[in-house]
Amino acid sequence: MDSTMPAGGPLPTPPSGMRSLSARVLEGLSEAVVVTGAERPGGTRQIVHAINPAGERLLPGLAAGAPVEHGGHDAFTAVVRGGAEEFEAEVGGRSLVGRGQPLADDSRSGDLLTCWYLRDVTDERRGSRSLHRAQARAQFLAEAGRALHGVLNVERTLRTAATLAAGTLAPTVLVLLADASETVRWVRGEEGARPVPGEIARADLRSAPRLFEAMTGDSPVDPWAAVELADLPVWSAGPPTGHVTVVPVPGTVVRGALVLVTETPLPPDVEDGLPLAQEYAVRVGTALSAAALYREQAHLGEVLQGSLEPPRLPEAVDGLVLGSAYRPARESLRVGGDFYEVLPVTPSGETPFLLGDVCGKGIEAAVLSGRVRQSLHALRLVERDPAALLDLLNAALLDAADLDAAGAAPTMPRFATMVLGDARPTPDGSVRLRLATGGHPPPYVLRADGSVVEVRLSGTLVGALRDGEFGATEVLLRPGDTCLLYSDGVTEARGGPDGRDFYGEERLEGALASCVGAPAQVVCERVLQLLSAWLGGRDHDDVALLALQAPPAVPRGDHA
Amino acid sequence: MSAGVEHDALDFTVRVDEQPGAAVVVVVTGDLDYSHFRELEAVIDHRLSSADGPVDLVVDMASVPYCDSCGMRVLLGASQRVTAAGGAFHLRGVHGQPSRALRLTGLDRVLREA
Repeated sequence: MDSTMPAGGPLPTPPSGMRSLSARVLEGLSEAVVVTGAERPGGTRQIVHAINPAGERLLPGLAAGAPVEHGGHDAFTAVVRGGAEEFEAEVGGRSLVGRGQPLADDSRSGDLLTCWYLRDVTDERRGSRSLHRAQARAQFLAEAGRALHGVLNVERTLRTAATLAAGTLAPTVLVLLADASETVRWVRGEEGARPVPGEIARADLRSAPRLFEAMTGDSPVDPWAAVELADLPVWSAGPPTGHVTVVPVPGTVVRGALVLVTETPLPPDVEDGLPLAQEYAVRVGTALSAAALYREQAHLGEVLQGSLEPPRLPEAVDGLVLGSAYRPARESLRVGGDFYEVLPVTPSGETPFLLGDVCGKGIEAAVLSGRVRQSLHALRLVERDPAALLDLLNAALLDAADLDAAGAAPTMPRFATMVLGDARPTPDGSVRLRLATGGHPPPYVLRADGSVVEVRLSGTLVGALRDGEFGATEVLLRPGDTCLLYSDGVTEARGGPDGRDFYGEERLEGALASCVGAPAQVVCERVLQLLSAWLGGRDHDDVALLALQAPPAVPRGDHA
Repeated sequence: MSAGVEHDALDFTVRVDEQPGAAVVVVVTGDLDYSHFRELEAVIDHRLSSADGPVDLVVDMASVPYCDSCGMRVLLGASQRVTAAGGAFHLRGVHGQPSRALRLTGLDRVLREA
């Protein structure tokens, strides 16, 4: 280096003509070029010997001839002093990558200059960082969707929602849920800890009108909602410290709020700030609504099941022993339409009974079963003959279906199968049964001697065909004989070794034969027990059993 | 009725075979019960809704081991709709439990074999 060259002088003087050429080349480069070197031979102070316009733009303040540190870019100054060959540095909020190339200077004393080639990679880095963040965001939302989807249980969905968000969206998370009930449920999630559930009375939210509005309205969340939250009894160790953000959890059936407690405010304009929380809240809302809807339907199913469940049998009927068993399908939404009833003794001394099954499940079955039973109650006022009753019921159901369908598209037929009749005890201890059937499996009779016979009885579905035919017969139960009415849930229960075999008539006959001597109620319970063993815990349809028995000749006081 | 388990859903198929000038044949495979009857209902409804005139329909039951009241509803409904439009409805290959069930309910009088 030329020690006589004034500070601020340009590059060591190249041969004339070359200088302007190299300067012009450097000026045109989009890459920043800075040449540094010792101020004087053997000196330690580094000055800028040359800098091109791209360099001045990237490192404003650096000027040819001025010490490097005057540029005010400490990171670059440190790199120059350290003599790194390649480096990355954050300079003035920009990301720089560069490399230093020693310039041999054969005309000088051996002090080296270093040429720094610098590139601004801020945008690239931001791009790949934001891509990475976008991927992480998408992954988080996808995982959240998977974890939340199909839980179909409100409490578990709430817990999952709080657990997933804690640590990802905020160190502390609170999920609040309001439904039609008087309680607002919440779950607090904290990073690395088990979620804590709790409830507050909806009335308690009166002190937090803005929070409540955030949960129930679509209006933007009022910042005061966060202040109101502090006073709610949902925090373990006093009100949260930090920034509280309330994000509404939208839903069709339920409304809620996602509350995030963060150290710094959640940035509203950064994708993984507030927008991510909002997207997450949408997923939580969908999952919670699905769970709540499912719960409602299941509840509806339970109510229906309750309405379908047969009433209790009359306490006691002189000269007649009764027994029954009912086992509804395990899933309440699949509850079908098995029903049975035994009515009080009529003035003329008959005890009417009925066991049937309507097609379909759930609400449809409940409606039809209600219609069948109510129609029969009314029809019994004018008709007592079982087959004639079925004729009337058939016509009544078809007329009702026509009314339902008037003007509408063709509907699926709705029908029922049933065995109905009445029992009249006779003075000699026998019971005379009148029976009629509409498309239902015929009853069995278990004789006192242990033999089992199927009653010969057939007829068409009730409510399906205008020209339905309903067979009728009479059966005399001698003392100790039992007549068993059952639904096809018994014979069509699938079980056995491979779970595919029907229980079938033969097994039912065998089961019945093993009940000889048992009171009517025990007969039903034993058949149900044997059927359960066959099912081996598998799902099944409704099962209904009704037993009518003539008291044994020598009463042992074991009437049901 | 149905004791169907979840995987049964995979074992149920409805296929429509159509030859010009011949009856539409709907081939059902699997349990025709509460879990599946809507599939058959939808297929038949789609086929009948898109028809201009009467359609002759055959439901092939040869691969149906089980039919509950829901299944019978679909068959009866289809039969009523087809005949109301002037077509003919028949079953084919009914055997086993479905055969007993149709006899028991008296539906064998209206849902006849081809």
